Amino acid sequence: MKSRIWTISGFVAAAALAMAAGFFASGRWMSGGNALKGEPAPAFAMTDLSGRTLTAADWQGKLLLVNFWASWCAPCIDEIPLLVEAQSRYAARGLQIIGPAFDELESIRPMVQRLHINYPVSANLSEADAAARALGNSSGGLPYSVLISRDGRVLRTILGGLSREELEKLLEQHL
Amino acid sequence: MPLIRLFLLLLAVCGSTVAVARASLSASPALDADGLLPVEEAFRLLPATRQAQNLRIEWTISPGYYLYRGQLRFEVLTPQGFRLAPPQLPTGLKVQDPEFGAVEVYRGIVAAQFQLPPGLKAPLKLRVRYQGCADIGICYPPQTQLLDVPAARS
Repeated sequence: MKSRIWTISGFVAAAALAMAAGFFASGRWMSGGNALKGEPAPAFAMTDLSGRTLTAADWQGKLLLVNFWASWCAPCIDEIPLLVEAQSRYAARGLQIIGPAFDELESIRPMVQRLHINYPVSANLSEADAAARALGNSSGGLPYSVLISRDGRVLRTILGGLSREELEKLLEQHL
Repeated sequence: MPLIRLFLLLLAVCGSTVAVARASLSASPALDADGLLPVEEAFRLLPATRQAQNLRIEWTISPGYYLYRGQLRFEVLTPQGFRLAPPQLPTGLKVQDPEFGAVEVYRGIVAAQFQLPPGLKAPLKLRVRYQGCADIGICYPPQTQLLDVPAARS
């Protein structure tokens, strides 16, 4: 009788576990957006505020953090001081941050000055949109960051802002 | 016998829980891989409605998302040269944003209402611009959509 109870209990527990696992794996909880992870980063270009076109050759051998942002995006602006600090702190170890903006030049210039942005920034909406899509941002949501290894492979894509701790951990892991 | 009943009961509970949970997921619009709604699902711009001299443009905003009042723009493309009077907009929720200061946002349903001049019977084509964010700290680029407003009924 006891063994029968254990058999049935085990079966019910296994069934419940399988159903719960299926449910959690089927919906909102199956997040990630890292389909590009490990793949060679798609080629993209950006034109900085002085009009210079930057391509993969400009950051070859660097750990590249591409941070898509905009002046109308409050979470993006919140994150920028952390990126400025990271660029100063980790530049000597090979970090290069770039910031393509979904914005107009006149909106971006004052922000670059006010936030003391110390890495290349662009202000070309269509160019930023094309680069973001190529780098896996299907929703168009911002902020969106992509970490690319020294040999040009996508290490991580991140939709939403990073905390100081998350950013430091991520960079320390790959520098 | 009681054991079998218990077993069947547990199975029924498990099954119904999963069914309810799946129904609630499938009832929500499609999510992308990051769990963020596509912008057109987050902010549904409904067809414009016109009754007598009243023009109404309405959005349904999904829970967990909001539109900025200050980012709403309306422009008449046709008839050329016609300009809309400023819309009547409801008071939004006041939010103190560390970057943008005091802003008003809309959640749920919001409608912009316009008074059209009595002589204007022709259909209109409008360009509507709006921008919003998700509570999880992600913002969408400004969206621009064209809206056709039917001719006034005579």
